[in-house]
Amino acid sequence: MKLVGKIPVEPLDDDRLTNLERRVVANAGDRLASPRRARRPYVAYAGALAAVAIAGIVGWKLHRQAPAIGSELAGATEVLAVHTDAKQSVIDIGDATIESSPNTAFAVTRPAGGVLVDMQRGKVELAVGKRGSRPPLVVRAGDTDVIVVGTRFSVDFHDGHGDPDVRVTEGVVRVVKRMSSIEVKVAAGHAWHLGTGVVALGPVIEPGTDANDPAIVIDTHVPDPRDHIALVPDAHLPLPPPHLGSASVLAGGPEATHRPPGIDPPGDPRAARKADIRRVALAPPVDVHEPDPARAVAAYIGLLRDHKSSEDESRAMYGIAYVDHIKLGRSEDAIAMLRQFKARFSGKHYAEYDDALWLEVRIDCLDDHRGADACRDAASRYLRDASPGATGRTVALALVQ
Amino acid sequence: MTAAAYVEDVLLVDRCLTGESAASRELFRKHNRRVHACLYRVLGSNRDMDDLLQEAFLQVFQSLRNWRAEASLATWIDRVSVRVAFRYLSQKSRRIATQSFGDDAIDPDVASYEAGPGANRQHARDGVKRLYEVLDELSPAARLAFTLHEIDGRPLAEVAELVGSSVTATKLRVWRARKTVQAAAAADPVLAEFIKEAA
Repeated sequence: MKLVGKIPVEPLDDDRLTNLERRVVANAGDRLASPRRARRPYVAYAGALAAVAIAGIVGWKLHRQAPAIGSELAGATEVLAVHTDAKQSVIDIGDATIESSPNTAFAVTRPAGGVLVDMQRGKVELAVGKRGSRPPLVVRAGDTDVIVVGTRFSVDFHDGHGDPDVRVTEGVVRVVKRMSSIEVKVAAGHAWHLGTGVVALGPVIEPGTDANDPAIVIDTHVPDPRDHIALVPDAHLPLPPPHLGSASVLAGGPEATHRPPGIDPPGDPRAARKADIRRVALAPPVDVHEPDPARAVAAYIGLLRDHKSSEDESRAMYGIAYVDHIKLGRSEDAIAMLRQFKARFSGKHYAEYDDALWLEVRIDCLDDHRGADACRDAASRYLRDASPGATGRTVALALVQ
Repeated sequence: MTAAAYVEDVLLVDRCLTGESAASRELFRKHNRRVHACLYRVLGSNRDMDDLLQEAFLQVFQSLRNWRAEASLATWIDRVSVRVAFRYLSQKSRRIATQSFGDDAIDPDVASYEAGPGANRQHARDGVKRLYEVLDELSPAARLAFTLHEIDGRPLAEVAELVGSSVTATKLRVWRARKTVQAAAAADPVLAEFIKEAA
């Protein structure tokens, strides 16, 4: 049965659409503000919840054996206790498959429809089916709860002391430190440990949290199709090792030194001019400490999403355009980003403004397919909009003539 | 989705959240056709369509703060639209107000199908009408799964994601809905002809 494209969609006429637009836009402001207003009636509930939480903490203090994740766990019945000595073991509990390393001990209980894997020591690796609306599957290692959203992951509790290592290969888990109210989301391809926080693809600091506390790093992996695309040869610019939360400027020279030799075809009449263009230094973007360009783009997107100032936005957008063009060879994407950059920051000369304009000149003038007019236009814009002392002025002047 | 498109979404949402009505308008203009098409394919021609479309967008604005950008804005808006459609379908007491398809109900992408002689066009309209009458009898979840997959052309995985269900459950719902439609077609030559032509 192939009905795709066979059901005619009755178009909305202009009048209806205009009326709808008017009504939606008129009410949008209220709806956008409503979550804040909606919280008010819940103040009483919040107070009640706080009271329950305090009672829970008191109860927990009095009865340390009682699990703390929720009252539903208190009545849990132990269904399975596993101790492995020198061998690995794999058990299937229906909801999940649990693979345990040698010298691992844990117990599986089913509190109120959920699953609690309570670890004493060792390492378990789980493959968990989607739980939908069922209560969660929780792996408890000391005071750390790893709450499963439906995924494949491992928890290494070593000798049963300290903090576990959590590694996620599929899906997402929430890691909750019950003693300190820390909660972290760990997504596929990420690992977490209290000491290091989330070591992740494009990690960003959650707004409003302490950037120095690595345990409060929330993963914000942004799907980017370019993660799967082969990179151009000059894509592997060596950068410092990953370190979260920093926004220092990348040390090192301009990207020109990383460009493969022989980029211009032999006998290119514009080779000298292109060389002049490349000689104009282009400031590297703010360093997000991501050696992989695709991940760097994801990190810039994270910076943009959680920006605290317009300067952050400016840095992030320039960073994306820079990496797109210089490291990923994606000039069209870079141009699209620069177009947005200019629209947003026209007249606001943040630190990256001149370089963004020059990046556009570079792209339009070094790429023969873009044509002489595009090059001349970009150079004209540079001359018109860049600050008076901008480094590319002389070259730009030659390009417009 | 390119980073530039993604960033465009992020900036647009930022502007909406600051209360800029031009941004709200831009978001509406950018996505209204998509939302309308989605609702239309799920619900068919419907007297409540304008209200549903409005409700979908108001839900979008109400939840905009919660868009964490794990998905593209368009996908997220689709999810909101599907929820609105589901809620509408779930109001069991309400008979879905399916309208007959008017003469202006011609989408460019079905122009070739609709471009036949008048009799054929009427035949197609009747087929569509009969199809949605059968769909009215399905459960909301089955109808969503069937229409999003079979009519809107979305892959099963995407449908599962949109309706918040597993791929297996979605596949089963589509299969059951298909069986229901085929059973109805066995007793209805117009529907049978429409499905046959569509296949």
